[in-house]
Amino acid sequence: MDSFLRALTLVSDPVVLLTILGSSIFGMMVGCIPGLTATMATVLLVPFAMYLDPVSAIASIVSATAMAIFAGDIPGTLLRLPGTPASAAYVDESYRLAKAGRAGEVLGLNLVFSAAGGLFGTVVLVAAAPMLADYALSLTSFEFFWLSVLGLSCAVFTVGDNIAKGCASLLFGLLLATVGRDYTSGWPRFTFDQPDLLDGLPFVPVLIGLFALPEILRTVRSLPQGNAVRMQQGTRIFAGMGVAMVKWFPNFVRSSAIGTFVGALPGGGADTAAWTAYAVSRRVTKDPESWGKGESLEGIIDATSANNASLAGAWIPALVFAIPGDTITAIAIGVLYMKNVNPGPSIFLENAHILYAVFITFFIANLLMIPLGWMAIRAAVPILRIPRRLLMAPLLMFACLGSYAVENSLFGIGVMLACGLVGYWMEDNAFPVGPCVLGIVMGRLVEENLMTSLIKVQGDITRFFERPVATGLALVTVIIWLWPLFKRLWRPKISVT
Amino acid sequence: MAEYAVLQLIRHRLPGLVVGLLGAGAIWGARSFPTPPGQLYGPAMFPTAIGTGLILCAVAIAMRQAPTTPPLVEADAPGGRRAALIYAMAPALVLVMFEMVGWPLLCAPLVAGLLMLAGARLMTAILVGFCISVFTWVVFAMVLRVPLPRGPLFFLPY
Repeated sequence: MDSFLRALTLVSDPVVLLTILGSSIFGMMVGCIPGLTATMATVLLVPFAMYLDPVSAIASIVSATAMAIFAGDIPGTLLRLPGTPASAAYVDESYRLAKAGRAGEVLGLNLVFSAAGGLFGTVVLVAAAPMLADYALSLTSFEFFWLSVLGLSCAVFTVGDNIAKGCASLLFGLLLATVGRDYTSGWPRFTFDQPDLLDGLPFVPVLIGLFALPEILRTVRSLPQGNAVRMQQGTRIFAGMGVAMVKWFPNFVRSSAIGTFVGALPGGGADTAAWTAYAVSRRVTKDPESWGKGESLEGIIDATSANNASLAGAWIPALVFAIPGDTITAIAIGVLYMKNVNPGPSIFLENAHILYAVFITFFIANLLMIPLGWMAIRAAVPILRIPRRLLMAPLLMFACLGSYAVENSLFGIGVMLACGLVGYWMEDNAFPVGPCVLGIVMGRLVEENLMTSLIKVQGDITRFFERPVATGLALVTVIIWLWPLFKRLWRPKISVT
Repeated sequence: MAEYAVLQLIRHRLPGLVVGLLGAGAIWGARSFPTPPGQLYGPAMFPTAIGTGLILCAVAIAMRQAPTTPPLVEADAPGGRRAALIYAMAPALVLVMFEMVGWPLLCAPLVAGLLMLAGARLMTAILVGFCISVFTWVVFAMVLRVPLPRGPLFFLPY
């Protein structure tokens, strides 16, 4: 209770509240611009977060991402261009409804169900995280090693059909994490006699480089967006919302639960949550005829609830096991490490007030979404008229300054540029960047747990499988890696029969 | 046509080659890391394992069958490729000129130039460039206390 009251005091600090408001507006703006993702919003916030206390830093990330995921629905509905990948699942249906003069209704439902989905996910986070943490305290380095490997494996297998490239991206991230002094011996690794590299690659410039620079370059290269659908004057966005809430309540609960669960899976993310909820909704709908004709709201409500619910879900493994559920929580974990707050079960004992502050921030951000979202919908048409190519030059300057500001060194800009070119090449060759960031963030944790376990057992690998939970986790990991092989062996049998 | 096919094949195999070289480089670099006395594993163990994994991935990437149909690629804007190249070079320019010219005098013309490249009008570009320069100075130098280089404008406040 003391921790909760302390957290409440921390969050009610005007600086924190202003940070939440400012980050929410920023997230809303980024989400509104097609092509700029919630991850981009987070990455651009990190240099500022470095100057804030841990609570404000995490509050800024939580509120910006929640807003960005909702705001992605606005260009999706008015332009048929998803603002963030999380809106892609239902963009066609939303646009058809908007062209039929129902843009206000669709955006209103998006807003309310996004906020409600976010609140649902937060309730699950508040309930599940402490229970799991209690259990996690009994785990040893063996279980944590297998958990990390399992988390990273899930991340590789959820990024696309080319597993080899996902795996290569992850291993590249793990390799980048080895740069600097070794954890056990202090020996400098891959530093090329550069003193700047002794403490490892600077996290913020690497992030900005991998995510922001490729996105800026891609936007400058691509064709400008089309014209937005006009919203009718005097549209009442929240008209009939009470009836809709009652009518779609079962859909909302089902999809928010799916979203929270998918979000909690490492590598899941908001876009996978939205696609999964949309697919389930399509399969169980009682009115399949109206789908795809610009008449059904069902898929939109399901997917929009799920993508916002997944954001809170992703924080469950991040806080309890220090294993991020998606790229955004990977970045947030990195920020926490830089602030000397180590996520994991011990955070519930050592920094419980920070944890409760994160929970409270989730509630505030999702409630704040309603008024801010309403304003964003009203202002959407003029905002969407700004050609996004023109926003890239200022964003590039922010990227350079953000990379410089972390250590007040030009080295940061150099790292950002190098990682940016690597990130661009990776995307150009269909290598997913997400697993690379997970590798960078989790590299140290994986190596620490591996080395601690190896030193404990004096090299006897069989003892990695002695404890039942460790064996179970190892088995699941092996099954995940063998799954593509099983599928390949299974397929010919189906075609013969 | 045959030349196109060869180019496609090289393009398809190149990522595998790059990943393989990276893995080999990691293993080669890790060879020089010493194992502490009395221990079975040292700082070379993890990078060597990663390098081995990268080589296996490289083989899997290179062995994957090349697509028979060209992939769907988003169309470029006219002059988009050149613009992207110049945008990519902008951080390098910042790297070289940052301390010599100072942030405000570097930022304003750079933003204006990049904006014009993206299709903005001259006056708009100059105005936005100036505003971004002032805004970033206020936020980073004056509020966040980042010691941005002032260049010849040594009288600017922090």
